[in-house]
Amino acid sequence: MHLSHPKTPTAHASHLEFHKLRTLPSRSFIYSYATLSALTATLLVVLILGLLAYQSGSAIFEANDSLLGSVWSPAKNQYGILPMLYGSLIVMVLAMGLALPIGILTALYISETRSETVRRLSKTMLEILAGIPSIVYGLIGVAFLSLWVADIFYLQTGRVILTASLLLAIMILPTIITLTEDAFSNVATPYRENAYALGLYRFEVIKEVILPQAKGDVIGAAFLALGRALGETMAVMLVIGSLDRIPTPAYNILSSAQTITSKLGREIAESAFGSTHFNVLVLMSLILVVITLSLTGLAHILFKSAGSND
Amino acid sequence: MPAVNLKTLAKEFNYAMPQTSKSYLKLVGEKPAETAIKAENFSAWFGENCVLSGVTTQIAKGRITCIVGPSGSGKSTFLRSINRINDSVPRYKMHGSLSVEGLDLDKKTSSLTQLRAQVGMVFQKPCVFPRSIKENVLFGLRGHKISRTEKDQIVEQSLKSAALWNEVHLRLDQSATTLSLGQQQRLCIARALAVKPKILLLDEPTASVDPVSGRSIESLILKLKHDYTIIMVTHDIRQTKRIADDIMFFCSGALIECGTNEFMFSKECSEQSRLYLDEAFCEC
Repeated sequence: MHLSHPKTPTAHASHLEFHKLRTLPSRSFIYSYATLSALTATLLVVLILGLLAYQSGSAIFEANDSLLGSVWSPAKNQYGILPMLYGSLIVMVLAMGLALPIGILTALYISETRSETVRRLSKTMLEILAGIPSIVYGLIGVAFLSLWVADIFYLQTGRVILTASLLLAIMILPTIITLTEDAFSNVATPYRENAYALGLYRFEVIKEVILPQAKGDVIGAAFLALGRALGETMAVMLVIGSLDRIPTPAYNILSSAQTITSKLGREIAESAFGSTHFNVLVLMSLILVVITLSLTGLAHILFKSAGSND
Repeated sequence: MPAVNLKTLAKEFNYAMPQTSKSYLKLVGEKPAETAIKAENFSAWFGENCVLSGVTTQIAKGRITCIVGPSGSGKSTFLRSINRINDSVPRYKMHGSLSVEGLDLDKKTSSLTQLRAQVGMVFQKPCVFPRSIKENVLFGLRGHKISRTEKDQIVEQSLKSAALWNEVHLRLDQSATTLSLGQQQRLCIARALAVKPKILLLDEPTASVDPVSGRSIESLILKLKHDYTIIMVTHDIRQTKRIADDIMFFCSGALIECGTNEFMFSKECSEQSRLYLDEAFCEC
């Protein structure tokens, strides 16, 4: 027994030394690499924001009061961005209003009533849907959706706010369903079992346990979808009608309009670099970035708070 | 003295039906008890894996029945089958007959809500909802039209029954997550009692708490046996000896033997049961 005992610590120490030699440099390299990557990403965001702010700063002085107006006429030096802000806002709100209830109900249906096989199959299908390029959605919108809207509401053109909102709702639906379904499925099994063991009906378990527990994640998912809705360019540009004015009355969703992204998509290539026109478009993109970043930040806070609740 | 027909005797006493004939003898002289749960040739599967096979037994009313056996022997599956909480587990299926308070669980028509109102369950790990203590107690009564006074009465009564009232009556509106694990487990018991069940299923209720809290839960279980039929899964043999009236010994998905506490800890029980209960060793 004595013969073998002293050997053990030595062997152990040499193993530790070997381990130290092998892992320490690679660990510090990975740490440095990760830090550098994180710093680069942060710097890039700051750089983009800085460049946009620098470029758009002059627009505020050059365009003066016309910025807060509703007339967009570069020829007359009028750059009212309100129609675009309004267009973005109404399309986003309508799309979310349509997609969120359907998305949440579908996610609940999949996670609470269907088998694991159906769940996996539907998730795969939804991920495929989420991966379809937006131009394809745009073409479907132009070829079918706008025509149907025009037929149903007896309109001259179906390229209106409603069509853009419907198309956007269809586009963000897979994101909402996938994320909220994950949120519902991640509610800890003991919560469900305890609720069912108390004799609650499935509807009551969903209302009293699943939804409150997944609330943070669902709101986070909604904000992420909102960010996507706000940033969507191509599909919206094809079906919104591109009219730089606030509809009259303002709630008329059967009227054509313009969003920030569709405006940028149409005009950024046509404007001369450094001109007031170009600078105002950059200013609009800055507003878009700020809103999107705020929404993403809010979503992260909500995800975090939901995590700490668990 | 005429020869005793063991099966007739067991039927006559309408009592827990041990599978080893020797144990019937211990029933002689016992007070006849009503049956709370009756299983006949009950089997359960998870997919192709048979976890319980051919369990035939009766569980008496107003007694503490401890289910013991090594891990994976089917104890919890049997317990969870009683209030059909296993139904939500994918690919779970059961065969044979299982009736609770006369309610046949095999019939698809039997109402789960009706069953679960009669059978309360407390799980191994205390799981309180992130709400106030009061809301937790009343959680199973959602959807019932109860006045505020009645609610207060139910909360007080349930917490007193669970021996928790003195510790929490001044902070009923505080979050239940602020309670210690032992208190949370007693809150889970209070929550189950608020629904006024007839049977209380306890799945290792003291396994996740410290020994002091475990002891207080144990004495609470002893108090509750006067009003409820208690069926408890446990790995703690000493605890079983302290509190059980009846013991069911499961091994490899089969009910090996059941009988009274005295019988199961006597030399008259089967070799297999004695080996497990005395030496925590199993040859299954």
